[in-house]
Amino acid sequence: MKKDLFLWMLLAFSMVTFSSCSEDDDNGGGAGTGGTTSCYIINQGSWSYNNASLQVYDINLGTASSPDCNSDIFYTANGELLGDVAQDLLWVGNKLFVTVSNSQKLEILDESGKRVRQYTYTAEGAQPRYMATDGANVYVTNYDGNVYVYNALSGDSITKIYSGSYPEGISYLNGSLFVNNSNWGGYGGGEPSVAVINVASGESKLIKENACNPYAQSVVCGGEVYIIDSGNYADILPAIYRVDVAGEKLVKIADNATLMSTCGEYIYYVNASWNYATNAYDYSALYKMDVATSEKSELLPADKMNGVYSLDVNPATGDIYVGFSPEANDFGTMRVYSPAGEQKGVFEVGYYTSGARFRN
Amino acid sequence: MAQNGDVRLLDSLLVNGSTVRGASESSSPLQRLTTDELARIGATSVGDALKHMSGVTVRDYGGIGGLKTVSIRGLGAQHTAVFYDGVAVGDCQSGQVDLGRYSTENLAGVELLIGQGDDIYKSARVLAAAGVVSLESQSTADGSRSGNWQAGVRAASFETYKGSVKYSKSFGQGWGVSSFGEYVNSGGEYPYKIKNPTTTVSGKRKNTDVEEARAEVNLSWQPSDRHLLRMKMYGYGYERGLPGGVIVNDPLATDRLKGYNAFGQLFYEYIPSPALKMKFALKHNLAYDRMREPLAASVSVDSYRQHETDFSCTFKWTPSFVRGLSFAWSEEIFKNTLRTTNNHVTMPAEPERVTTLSAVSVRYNYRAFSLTGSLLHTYASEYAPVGDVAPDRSRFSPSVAFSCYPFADVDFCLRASYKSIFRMPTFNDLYYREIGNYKLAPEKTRQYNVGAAYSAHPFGRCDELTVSVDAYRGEIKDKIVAVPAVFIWKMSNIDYVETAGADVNIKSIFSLPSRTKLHLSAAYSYMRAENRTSGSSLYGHQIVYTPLHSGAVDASILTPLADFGYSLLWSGKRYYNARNIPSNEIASYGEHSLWLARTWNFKKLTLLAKVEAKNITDDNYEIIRYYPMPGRNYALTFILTL
Repeated sequence: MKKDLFLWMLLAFSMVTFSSCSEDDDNGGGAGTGGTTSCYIINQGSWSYNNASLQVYDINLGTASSPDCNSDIFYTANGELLGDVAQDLLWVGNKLFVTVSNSQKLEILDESGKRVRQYTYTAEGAQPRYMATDGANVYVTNYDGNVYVYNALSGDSITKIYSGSYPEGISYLNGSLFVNNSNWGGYGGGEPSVAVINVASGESKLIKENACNPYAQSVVCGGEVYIIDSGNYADILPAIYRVDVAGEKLVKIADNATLMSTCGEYIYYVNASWNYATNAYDYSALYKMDVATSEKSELLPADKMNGVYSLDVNPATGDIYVGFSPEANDFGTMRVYSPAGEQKGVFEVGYYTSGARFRN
Repeated sequence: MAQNGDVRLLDSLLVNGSTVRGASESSSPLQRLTTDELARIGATSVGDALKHMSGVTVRDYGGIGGLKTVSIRGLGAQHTAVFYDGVAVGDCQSGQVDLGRYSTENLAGVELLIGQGDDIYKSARVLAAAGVVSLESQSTADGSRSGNWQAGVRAASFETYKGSVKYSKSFGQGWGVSSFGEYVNSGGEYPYKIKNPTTTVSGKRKNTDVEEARAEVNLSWQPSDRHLLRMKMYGYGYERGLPGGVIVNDPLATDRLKGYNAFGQLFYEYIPSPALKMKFALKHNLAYDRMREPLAASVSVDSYRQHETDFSCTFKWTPSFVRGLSFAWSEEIFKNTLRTTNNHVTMPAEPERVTTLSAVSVRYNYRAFSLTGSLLHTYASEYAPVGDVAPDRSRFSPSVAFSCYPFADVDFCLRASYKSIFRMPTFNDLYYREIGNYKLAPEKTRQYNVGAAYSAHPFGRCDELTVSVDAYRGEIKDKIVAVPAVFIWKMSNIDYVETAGADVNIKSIFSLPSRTKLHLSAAYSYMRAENRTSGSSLYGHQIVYTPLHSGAVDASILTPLADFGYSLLWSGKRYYNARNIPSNEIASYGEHSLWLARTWNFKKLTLLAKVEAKNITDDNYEIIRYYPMPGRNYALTFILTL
């Protein structure tokens, strides 16, 4: 029970909003399960319930496939459950890379959800977490301290690169990987840092200054890498930091942020914090920040953020996908907003959605 | 094992030493299993025994070391109080007692009281619970002057072995002593199959080994009917693996748990006159658990040490000026502390809670009518050296019960009761690192029960027949649940649950030809427990792990040559996740078991041999999703009594 409680906490930590900037390539593609007319929804599921699921959302029709693990696209295509805690999905070319953290596996699927390859990690606690790509390779962080490298086209395993303690969120920028080395909420005894790894040489630099607990979120925006450090849940609160490679430190650019995404030169972010005065969560408005000027504007009011659980922006359209999970162990919803903040659609998603994923 | 089929009524099963009465004589549902019945149903732990009662759902995580907690009528395990020899067994950390840790080997009986009973001579802590599970160890008075020995060995499937020794002896001047020791060792690996949902996942449970030992010593002194002194020392130690749930594609399980529990308790009852009696109980309990969790790059070690000191005194006065009227007053004070450590992070400072309970009760009997009322006041004060601490709590909780016997010569009872009670948030709820919420309000419950019970006089071949039917309604307000959010979930008072249902119990004994006895009992529960939280997307959904229908049937035939029996545990479908959709269903199950026993007498020696076959249909079922229960399994037991 005690462990259950803690692992639920970890599950809650593991939110991701990991999307690409508009300058990322859009490889096009057809209707249905490809291109810019669809996106995938990855739902973590309830910890230890093996009910992670994968959905397809048809952007034009505004309809989504089943969020239920017994009838989602993975089950339909493969006749088996996706597994326990689907952490991240990366859509590269015509393949989907899916990390299923508690099942300790990486699934490589075609766009229909059918398995192409599967990698399992058998070592104790070797859970695959988050992914980034440079177009040629896919980089997968793993709690065993490494970043595993796979060929994006063939799915072949290439190598692994040591990063640090409990790697989480990851970005690729200009030949380097930026990896959030967490301390597993403190319980793992790791050393928090952001590792900057030169892919070609394998050389690594650890940025530790101001790092408290770099976690799941890492994005590239305006030629820089930004992360959310979740703090220590006491006097250091979750905030957005820019990774200052030259200065070898993390530079805070926005306080009070638990989720972020990016598009173009903008970072979108929202915050949830417990308010003991009201004995309930306080949700901030959804903000849009110009990283060049640090100016921020309110895009959606706070009362529309109740129960927010994921945040993604479609790089092709600028539409904002906000996932909500207000009730424990129940399906959530996802609302789609235009870049101006007008609601365009709403649909049901699975348990604890990790969010929407678009083609890289 | 009762070769002759006699039913031995217990003389000390009720909490704090009151006398046991029939099911038809209680104004609230009261179920019990005696030593013989516990032996017949083959329940090795209290958690297993309670599955044979109505109105309860036992969450069983499977296997020898699997956690077993009991929820009464959908209220949640934290609302179930457990008493061992009249003194509360607490767990301030999680609020729920693992009933798998208590062996039935040395018990005189297990009793379940739901709601408000009409025995007012109880400790205040009994009144403070929605339901009470009472465990009574075998009496020291059973021992002869020369001493009684009993030794047992048991070998069961999945490399499970158990040995136990009991000794009891009576001395002069009312002194008696008994002791009990038990050792269990189990590999515990068993095969399983899980439907998932159309394909079948099979494997073998891993990291299931259990080693545990328990011992207790009881001392009693009863020089006259006016004085009774009892003392108990109890110790339990264990080490086990935690197999965890079956995770798709991840068969690895390496977490380890070990710990111990020790308590000592002293009980004294004094009856200075027929109109006045009083009892006092003092207990200190120490529990320690240590969990070792290997991670990818390190090992996380958590330890939890909790202390509880409890003192209670209860007085009952039966004045002579009004016939049938009696009063009771009970005071109880207990202090709980919890110290949590982790090898990597600083855990919250050691919280401490002092709770005082004050209860006044009155009972009035007039001819066939009985009316009982109680008012309980609870005051809880908490302290922590650093950090935020929960505010002091103060609350009055009323309860009332009524019963009547409308027919003069028929043992038929109509009853109704109401109880309003609450549970304090546990230390986990309040102070667990980050998740805990020190501002949580207590979880409140209301229970309403109406029922009827009938005990037949012997007729024809029927020596005994007891039937009870109860209907109930319940409410749980401010239910404590974890609210999801990014990074950190938070414990909160959110949900509102309504329950309604009915329990039916039948017990009977028949005399058959050739000195043969037939014991038949059945329990059935209908339980609707729905989320009724306003505005919730789960409004109207049955809460998790609560079957609409469940029941048990036990049949035993006792002959001069041998005894044999059959038992069935059955549960309808349940949901393991909050939304009532097919993918969240757990299939119904029925566990059928058979046993055969024979006793041989050699002068002063008695040897019992018993063979059991459990889950004979090899039903691959789960009580908790992804925690498969064992399939067909066997046990062979020998008990030697001197």
